[in-house]
Amino acid sequence: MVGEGIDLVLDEEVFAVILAISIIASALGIALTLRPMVSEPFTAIGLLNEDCRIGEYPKKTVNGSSLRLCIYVANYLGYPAYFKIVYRIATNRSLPNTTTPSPKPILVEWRTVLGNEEEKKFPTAVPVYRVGNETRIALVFELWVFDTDKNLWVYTGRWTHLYIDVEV
Amino acid sequence: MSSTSFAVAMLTLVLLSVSHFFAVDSKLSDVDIRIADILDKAKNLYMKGVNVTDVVRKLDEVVELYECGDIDRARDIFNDTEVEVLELEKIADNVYRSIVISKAITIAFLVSIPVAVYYFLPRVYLYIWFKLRRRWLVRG
Repeated sequence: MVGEGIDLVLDEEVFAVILAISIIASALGIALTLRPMVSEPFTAIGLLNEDCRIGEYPKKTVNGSSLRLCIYVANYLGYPAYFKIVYRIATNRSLPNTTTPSPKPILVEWRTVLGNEEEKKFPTAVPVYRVGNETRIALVFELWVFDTDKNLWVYTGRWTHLYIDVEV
Repeated sequence: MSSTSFAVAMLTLVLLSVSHFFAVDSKLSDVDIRIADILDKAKNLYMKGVNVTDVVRKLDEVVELYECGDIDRARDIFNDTEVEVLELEKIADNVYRSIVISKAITIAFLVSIPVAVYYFLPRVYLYIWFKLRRRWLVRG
């Protein structure tokens, strides 16, 4: 203890508790100061309805028409990045997965540059038509990011799709 | 399964587990490369703690204008952005240094808290204790 006179006034156990709290607070503060800017980088893509809200998606449309939707993209990679959203019409058998994009041809592409922790919603219209004899198709939106080290577009493994019935 | 194909399968699994992204598209436009070049510089500036919000916003505007076919305006804004990035590169080292110094000061302050509590708390407490009781009379 610091001094005998102090012992008489400030209880030793109370002092030890206060000291322990200050050590924990200090360690926590240092950990927060030195923590990495982004602990788990990720990107996100979402599909919204034409009012840029979740739900009330169209369920059917006419072959050859265009459909108004809204696309949501978010960047939490820890740095600004250049994205492209690729639109394809696929079927059950040609959907993308987390490693491979859909093999179907690209119909529309949108590009955007997003800062870290930035999100963007943009309304758009996409063409819809039947694929072969299939009447139930999937509108597929894939998220690609530009790798500035290798100078090429890389599939992020993020995609979203909307099933729709196409009437002739 | 032969040992070679097993090794290939294992290598593929390892590569899949360590890689974030998989499929690539090597088809690039000139605009992609120019945007990516500036964005790479902006990324380095951001890592040094420089505010690149304006650069990112302008690059996004360039992409949007280019997609709408307004090439001249896109080129003007792109040139502006290039100049802005050059200006930011000049101050980047100073910004990085000031961030490192402010972090060091913060850590030194946080480290000093328990030391200060250990040294000053009993003394301050004693001082206040006596101050509050200075008018007290002790009767025998």
